[in-house]
Amino acid sequence: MLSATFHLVSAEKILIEFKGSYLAYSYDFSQIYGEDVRFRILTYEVSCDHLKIDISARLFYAYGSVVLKKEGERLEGDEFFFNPEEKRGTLVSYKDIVEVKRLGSREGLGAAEAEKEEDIAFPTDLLETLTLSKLQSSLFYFTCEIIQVTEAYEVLGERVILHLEGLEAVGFNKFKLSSGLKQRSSGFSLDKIWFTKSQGIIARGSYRYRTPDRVNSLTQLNYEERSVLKDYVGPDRQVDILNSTSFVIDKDTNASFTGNYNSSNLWNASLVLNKKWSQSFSTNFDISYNKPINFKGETWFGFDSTLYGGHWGDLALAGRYEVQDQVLGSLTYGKTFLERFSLLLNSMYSKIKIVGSDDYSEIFTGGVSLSYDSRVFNLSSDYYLNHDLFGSQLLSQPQLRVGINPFTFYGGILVASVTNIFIYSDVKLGAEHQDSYSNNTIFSLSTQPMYMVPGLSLDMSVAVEQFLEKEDRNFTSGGFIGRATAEIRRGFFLEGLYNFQSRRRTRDWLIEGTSSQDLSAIFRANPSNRLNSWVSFSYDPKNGRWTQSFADISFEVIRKWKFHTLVNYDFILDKLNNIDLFLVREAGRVQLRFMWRSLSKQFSVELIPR
Amino acid sequence: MKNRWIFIFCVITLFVGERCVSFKIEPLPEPEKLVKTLVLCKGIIPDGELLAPVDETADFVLGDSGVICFLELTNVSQAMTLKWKWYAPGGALFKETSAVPVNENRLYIETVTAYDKLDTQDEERFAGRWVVVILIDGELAGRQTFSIHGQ
Repeated sequence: MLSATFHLVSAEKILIEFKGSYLAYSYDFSQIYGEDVRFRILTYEVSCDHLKIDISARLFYAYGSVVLKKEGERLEGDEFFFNPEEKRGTLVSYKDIVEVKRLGSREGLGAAEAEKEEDIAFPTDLLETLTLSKLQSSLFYFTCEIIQVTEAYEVLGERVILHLEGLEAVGFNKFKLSSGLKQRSSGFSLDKIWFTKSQGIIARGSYRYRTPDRVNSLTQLNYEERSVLKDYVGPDRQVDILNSTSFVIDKDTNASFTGNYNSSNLWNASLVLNKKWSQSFSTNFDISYNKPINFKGETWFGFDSTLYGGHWGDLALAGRYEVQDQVLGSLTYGKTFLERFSLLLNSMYSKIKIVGSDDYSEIFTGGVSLSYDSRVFNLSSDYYLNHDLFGSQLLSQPQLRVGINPFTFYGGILVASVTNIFIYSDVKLGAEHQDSYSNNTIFSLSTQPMYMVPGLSLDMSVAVEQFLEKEDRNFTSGGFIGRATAEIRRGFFLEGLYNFQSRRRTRDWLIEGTSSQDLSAIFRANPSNRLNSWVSFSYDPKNGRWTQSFADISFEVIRKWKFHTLVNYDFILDKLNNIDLFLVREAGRVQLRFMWRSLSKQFSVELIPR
Repeated sequence: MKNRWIFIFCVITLFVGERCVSFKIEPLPEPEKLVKTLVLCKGIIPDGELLAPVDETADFVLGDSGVICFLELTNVSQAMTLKWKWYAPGGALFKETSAVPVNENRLYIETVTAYDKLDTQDEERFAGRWVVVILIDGELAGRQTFSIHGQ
């Protein structure tokens, strides 16, 4: 990421230049603050007391003694919102009323644009929260007297001082302050040359080709030279070439190509043509080739169409053919009728070559689902069919699902629900025939948190499940979870959690089963953004022993540096299972992390773009 | 051979670096009368010798006791005046404070805190989007927008 920052100064055209007594640019937030600033826009020379710019949001705002001058004209105001790309601005004066004067190109604006332009007089909270103090809290910020913004919204500075974590670090005569927020229009870019002890020499480059509203193509090259590494087992070097290209053929037709080549003899390519026949009907045609490592390549031709038929329902149809006689096909139809009924039909056929043989698996599956959903209950009936034509196996499986929607009672404190699912399966394998059925009933009852005294709440839930099947393997399961939460003082909580689970198997007169219990205590502390932690201890009352302890502790050390640790202790094994330590600096668009993990015994530093 | 490559690399780095890096650039003086904090809130509490906002928000409802615009300035060494102007929905000036003098003795003050309160009433005409601006020595130094919602 930083390697991109230290690129040579861009040769792109300058969109606007600012001169001031003090200009600060934050790399973290991509924002600019200025004092006593002068710039030129719309043939006006502009001067102001303060300047705020949010590069990402394209917001430009000058305020305090704003004066716009050109030959024979002088305008004064308190605020000036401007857009150098669209060459327009709005001057606002706070007198007895708020006076607004618009400048620049406004002709030909539609209603939406005009409304957007109205909004410019009242910018988002983004500018109101942009302060010099915020920028000075950045991990990287720069100060200088001249800042230029290019047409690609890259930021250049002259006679720049870099401030690293608030400390003056080093000066530069001319420097590209940002990494560029908009991709360059066309051309080659060498993005990175790097060396690491684990990967060797890494080089990354890209080539972008773009014609406005027609072609957009990006080719990326990744090269890793590993022969320089000691004791490295594997290929000396690896090359990856990736291409992604999209073409707009006309307003209803576009195409895209993706290709990927890897020097380990793996490559794939696909071409997709999308045609929109009408607002409700579109089709994709595609050709693809995929060459996995050590296997023969496959060439597929396919299409998929979607038809949104309004009250007639929606239909999707797809088919694919491979030159080695492999076939995939699917049909889906869905419709909602009489407001509460839904119908879904789907069928799929596949004929796929079995790896390592000349045989094909051939499977036909189909399903139909009809459901009804009312405010009180829901009912769904499904039928599923799977026909393995190669193995001559036919599975048909109807099922019926009935449920009472969760309902509240006892003044809204209690919530209950009941669901029942019945499944019947019929399997035909050649001349043999087998059938089975099962029924599953689930009842659950839970409470909302009940405040016994101020700062102490209780909530609990109970669930019972009965599973019956033809083979007489019947199970009854039940569980109870109870939780008490006490707020000791603002932001500090003590929680107690009791969990009991029981599973019983009944067969004729025999009842067998097991039960488990868990008692946990959790201490949480999140009184402010600077401290957010919890520690838990678990106890097994059934066996009378402590089991586990977890801790997740996070607090701010200094200037947005946060210390974070994850700890797990196993009382049964009397062993510290895991401890991870993090020191994290949140820096706007990047995050800097120093990490140590006990499991891998590795220390690492990461700079992660966000 | 290896040392020769390291020497060439260092020479090139120094040559390129010398063109880019400079140790002669003077640090810019920190701006004065800097608006460090400008927020809207529902209350103010003492914080040592200063004041601090509580219940920061930009959304109020009719019936709230009022809207407070809190200001924190840093690096103050000149005498100056502060003024708050409150603009009602529609853009008309609703309230304007007098110019409050600050640091008339021209001492260096690291931090100055101040606030103004808009007393709202439980009337529908107060509902809508408001703007409050802060003027330092008569020039705009900050603005905040907020909404008062009907009940």
